[in-house]
Amino acid sequence: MNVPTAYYDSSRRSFRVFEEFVELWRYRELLGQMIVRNVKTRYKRSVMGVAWTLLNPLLVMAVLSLVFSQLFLTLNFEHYPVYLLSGLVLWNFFSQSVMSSMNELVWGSNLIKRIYVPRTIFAVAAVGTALVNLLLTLIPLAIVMLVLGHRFSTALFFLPVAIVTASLFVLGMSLLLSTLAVFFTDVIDMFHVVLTLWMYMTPVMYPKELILNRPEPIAKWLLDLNPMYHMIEVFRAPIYLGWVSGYKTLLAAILCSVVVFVAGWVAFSLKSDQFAYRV
Amino acid sequence: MTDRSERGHAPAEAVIELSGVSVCYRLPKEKITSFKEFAIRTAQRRISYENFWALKDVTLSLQRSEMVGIVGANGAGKSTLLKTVARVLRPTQGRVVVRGRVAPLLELGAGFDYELTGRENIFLNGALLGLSRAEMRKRFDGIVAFAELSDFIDAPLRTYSTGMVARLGFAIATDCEPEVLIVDEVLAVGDEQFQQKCRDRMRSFRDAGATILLVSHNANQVQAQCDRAVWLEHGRVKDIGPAPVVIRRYKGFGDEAAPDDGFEGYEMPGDIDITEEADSPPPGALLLDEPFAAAPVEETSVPIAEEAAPAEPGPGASDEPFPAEPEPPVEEPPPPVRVPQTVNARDTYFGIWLWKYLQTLSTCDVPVLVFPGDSPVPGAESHLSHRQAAVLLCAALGWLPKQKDRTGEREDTFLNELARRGIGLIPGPDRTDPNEPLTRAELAVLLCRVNAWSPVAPRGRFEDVPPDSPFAGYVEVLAEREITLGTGQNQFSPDAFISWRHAAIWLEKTFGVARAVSEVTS
Repeated sequence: MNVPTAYYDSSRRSFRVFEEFVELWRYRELLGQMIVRNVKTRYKRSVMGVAWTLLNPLLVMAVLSLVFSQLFLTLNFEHYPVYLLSGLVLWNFFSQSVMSSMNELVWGSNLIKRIYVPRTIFAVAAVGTALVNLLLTLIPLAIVMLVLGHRFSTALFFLPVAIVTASLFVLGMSLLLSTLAVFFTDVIDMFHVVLTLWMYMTPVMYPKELILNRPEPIAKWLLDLNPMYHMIEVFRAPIYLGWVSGYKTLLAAILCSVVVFVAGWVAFSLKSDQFAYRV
Repeated sequence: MTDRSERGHAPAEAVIELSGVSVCYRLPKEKITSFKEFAIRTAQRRISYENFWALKDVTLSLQRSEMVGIVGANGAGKSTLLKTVARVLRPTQGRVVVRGRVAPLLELGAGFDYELTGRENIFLNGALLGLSRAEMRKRFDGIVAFAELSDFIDAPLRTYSTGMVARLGFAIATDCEPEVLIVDEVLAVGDEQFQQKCRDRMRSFRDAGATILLVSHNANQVQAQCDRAVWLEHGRVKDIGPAPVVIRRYKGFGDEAAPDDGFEGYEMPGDIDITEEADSPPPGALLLDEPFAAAPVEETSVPIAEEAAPAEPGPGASDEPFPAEPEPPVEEPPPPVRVPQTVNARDTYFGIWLWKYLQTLSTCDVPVLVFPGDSPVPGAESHLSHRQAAVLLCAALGWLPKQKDRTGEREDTFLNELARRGIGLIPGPDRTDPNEPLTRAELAVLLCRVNAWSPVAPRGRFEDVPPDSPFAGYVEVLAEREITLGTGQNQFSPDAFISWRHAAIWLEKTFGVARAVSEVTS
């Protein structure tokens, strides 16, 4: 015990933004365990357990398909469940991550006041958990594609890039919003409402042509400025259309995610010292 | 002196160091948690903040193998102090240095997931403390055994009782062998038997070199378990020192009539009559009891007489009569001092130390070590050796060497005890004779170190203490605390050997055990 295994000097600090990366890497073991815990405990008391993760999107999809296929009869949608599910999966990834990272930082704050862990770990674990759920729901998606006889194209190999892009964006949003939520708790409720509005403004359940065909030019701008639209496009194209989306959409998505991620990480790590004073 | 003391006094690296730590909560006068309200008020410039200093200028350093208790009223800043050490709060001002891994013993539930099983929680908690899964697997069986939960380890935590959860938490935190353990009022859970087990483990843990920081409302617990105590009041350190001393003052707090009455309330096992003690020596203390027992009766009276009388130019010739400094009655004829037939240990400052001394010796069953080289009985003007100083300091602080430490020379166990606590091994590697007398400067350093008083910038009040000497900062601390006033005429005589008489005065002023000398003599 002569050589201390750790050294902490409150007055000495490297650049916080990088320090946080290093610390997160040191605590990767904890990160893994937190994700495993989240996945395990989510349906812990239910009879079917993790099976719900797979079943849940299937059932939601069944309901929505039933409703929307009646609504959009005129549009002559081929394999609408695949279109719907591929969008829904990514949207859920986004909303779940942001909501739970805000909640964990604000309400699960017991830990943050008692013991040192890198503060970003809460957001990263929330996104990681949602990512695991996303990957799990790809299974029912594949089942639906099989059942409907949808074509599996080689473009599917592009999917990992789409997922990484989306993850960066989602993590950035989670960090930004949880920073805000620490200072103003009602951001959580506010964002809940915003999220609903946002979802209906994004072509998740309906075809994008519904917006693009509108006469007002503002409709198209809104769509172009909507980062989730680009994320979903990039993710959906290999699955539903069987090709990699155009470079413009791809560029927009990657740019969005990098900017949001950097902004979120910087804002969060600069403010993180104040969290324990606030929560 | 200078070069040898440099080695001997070099402060051991503290495990926890707080220097000038302040924590400020900036509280809005009205609580604003809604964004709307904030926006409106910002626009109107109506936000007024109030600064609340939860901690103000706290300086503290903890050594290895030390158990320090923090006491204070609610809101005094105890938990905030723990948080700065646990790295949860970064101080607003000042600096916190922690050398080692910190394991906070979390309050009930924090860090546990109640849906997971005990087994899963062990791994989760280990990761929280920064241990890998592989390491936790090695420790797993030990943790389960200590927590006495082997039958329930695969049941979800929500089925556990509070006591079971607390046991699991304690077992994990202490099994991970952190260098620093932070305990915040959690040990009140569990049955008496388990609490005893916890106390034992904390003790062995500390003996293995860990530093323990304990917060408790229970002052008795702090007194019983801790080496030192810190008394916080309104975020400031009100008092710091050996646990029994601080706790005594803390308990007497509010009793304005006698705030510094050293004796009242000091827990001594009854009036010890040294003469009687000598008549029936305790079984462990056979070897030296006889010459020793005779000593206090005569010797205690001697220093008393000499305190008031002009000091004879003793062996430390430069030692001017120290107690006479504040007033000039040095030249007055000595008041007649009766030598009492039996000396009540409580009555003389010298006697109490000898009594404590005796008690330590008999408790520790090492009676031989005291005066092998010197005269068999400590005279007031005889020199204090390193070995004797170690015994006196350990006795004052209740640092009793453990049985198992006595591997080497029996005499050096107290010296080793000090060394074990990181308090300068005197004599150092180059000073092999512990019977060598101690200089005034050396005792000054030792006294500061056992109290963990950091040296301060010397103000040059003593002409013979050069400000760049290694002990100057320590001498300044003692002077500031009015423990020493020097030897007169702005002299401190750092290199003179300290006499038993002066050592007893310093100790008395430091630990505040005895009544003022004048009261005894008059």
